[in-house]
Amino acid sequence: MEGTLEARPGRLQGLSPSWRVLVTGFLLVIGAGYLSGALNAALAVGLTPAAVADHYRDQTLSKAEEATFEKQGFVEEEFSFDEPADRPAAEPADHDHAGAHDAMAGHEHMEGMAEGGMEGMGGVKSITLQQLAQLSHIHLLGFSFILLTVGALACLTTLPEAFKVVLVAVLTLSLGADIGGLWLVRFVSDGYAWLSVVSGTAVGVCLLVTALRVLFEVWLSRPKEVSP
Amino acid sequence: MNLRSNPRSNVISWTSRNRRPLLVAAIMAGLMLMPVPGPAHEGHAGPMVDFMAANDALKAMLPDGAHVTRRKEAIKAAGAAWAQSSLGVALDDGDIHTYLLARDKGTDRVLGAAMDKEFEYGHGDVKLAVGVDPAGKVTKAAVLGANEKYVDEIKKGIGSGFLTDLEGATIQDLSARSDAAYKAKNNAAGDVIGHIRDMAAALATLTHGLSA
Repeated sequence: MEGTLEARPGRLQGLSPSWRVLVTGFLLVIGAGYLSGALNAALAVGLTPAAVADHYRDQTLSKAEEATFEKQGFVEEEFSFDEPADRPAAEPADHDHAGAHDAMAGHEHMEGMAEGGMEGMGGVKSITLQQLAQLSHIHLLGFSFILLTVGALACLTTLPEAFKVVLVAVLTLSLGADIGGLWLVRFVSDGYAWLSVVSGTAVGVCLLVTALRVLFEVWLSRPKEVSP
Repeated sequence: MNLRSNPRSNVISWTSRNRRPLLVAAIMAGLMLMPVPGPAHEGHAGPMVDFMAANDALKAMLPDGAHVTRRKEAIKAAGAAWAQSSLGVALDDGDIHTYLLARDKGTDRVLGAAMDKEFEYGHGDVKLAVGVDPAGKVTKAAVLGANEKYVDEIKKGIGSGFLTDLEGATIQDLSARSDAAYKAKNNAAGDVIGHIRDMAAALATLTHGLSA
C-alpha cells in the first residue's frame, strides 16, 4: 500500500500526540463553527420551516395578498405618506412582516411598511438572485472543505464501511440540500423550507457522529495488533 | 513525518511526499472555514448610503391632494405588447410591480403614478424612484441611494437625489439619454437612466391599462 491514499481503519488510533491535538482542535473548532452558524440562523431567520419560508420566499405578495391577486388580478390598498414617516427605513427581509399580514384583500391601511424595498413600497424585499448566488457560493465553497475534512476523518475511523458510506453520503447530500432548499423556497415554492431545516440538522448530526467517533478512536481506543 | 506513533504498523504507509498534499489541504481547510460567515452577508459593496428618503421622493412625484393607493399589479401580455409598440420598451409580462397610484378624489381619474425600486449595480444596489403623469412623462426622478462602494461613481456619473434634468422627459427621451450616456462611456448614467426608463415605461403601461 506504499504511496496510496486508500483509507484503512485504525489510523486514528495510532496518531502521534501532535496529530491527536490537531484533530481534536479541528473538531472543537468546526463544532463551534456549526453551533455559531446555527445560532446565526436562529437569530437572523429562525429555525423552523415557517421562518425559513418567510425569510427566503418571494416577498412580492403576502399570503393574504396572493388570494386577492389570484381573484382580481391586482392588490390595492389605501396609502398615506404621513404614516410611514415615523417608521424605520428599509431593513433586510427578516424584519417585521406585519404589513404583509395586514394587507388584506380590500382596502385596509397598511401597517409595518418600510421604505425602499426591492419592489419599492413593498415593505419587505425579496432576496435577489444575486444575493442568493452570493450566499450560495460562499457557503458551498466552505461546505466543500467541511465535507473534505470531516468526511476524511470519518473514512479513517474503524466504523463499518457501509456505515461510513452512508455517513459521508448523507453529509454530502445534506450540505447540498441545505443551500438547494433555499433556492427552491425562493423560486419554486415556500413548501420546500423543510428541506433546509432537515438538511441543516442532518449536517449537525453527521458532524456530531463523526466527531464523537473520531475522538473516541483518537483518545480512548487502542489499535489492534497487526499480524506481520 | 509520520502519521502514526507505531512505525512498525503497516496500516499507515503513505510516503512523506504523498502526505504533504493532505497536510496542505488540512491547513487550507482550516483557513477557508474561518472567514465563512460574517462579511459574506454584507456583500462586496459596503452598506447602503441613502441620499434621500423614498417617502419624500415619492410624495414629490405625485400631485398634491390626490387620492393615493398602493397597487401590486402584473403587466399583462397585451400591456407588454403596447409598451413595445408605443414606447419602444420591452417589458416582461407577468412581472408584478408595486406602485403608488394617484387619482382625482372627485372623478377617480388617474393623475399619476410613482414607484421606487432597487437594482443591482456592480456588486451592490442602487435605489431609484420615478413618477409619471397620465401622459407617461416623468414628473420627477431620483437616485435614492447606492452602496458605499458606488456612491462616488453614481454621483459623478448621474448625480444623487432628484435628477432635475429628467423632469418632463418622455419614455423615448429617456431611451435616447441612456443610449447617449453609454456612447459617452458613462455607464453609471446609462444604467440609471435605463432603469428609470423601464420603471417609467412600466408605470405608463399600468396606468394606460387603467385609463383604457
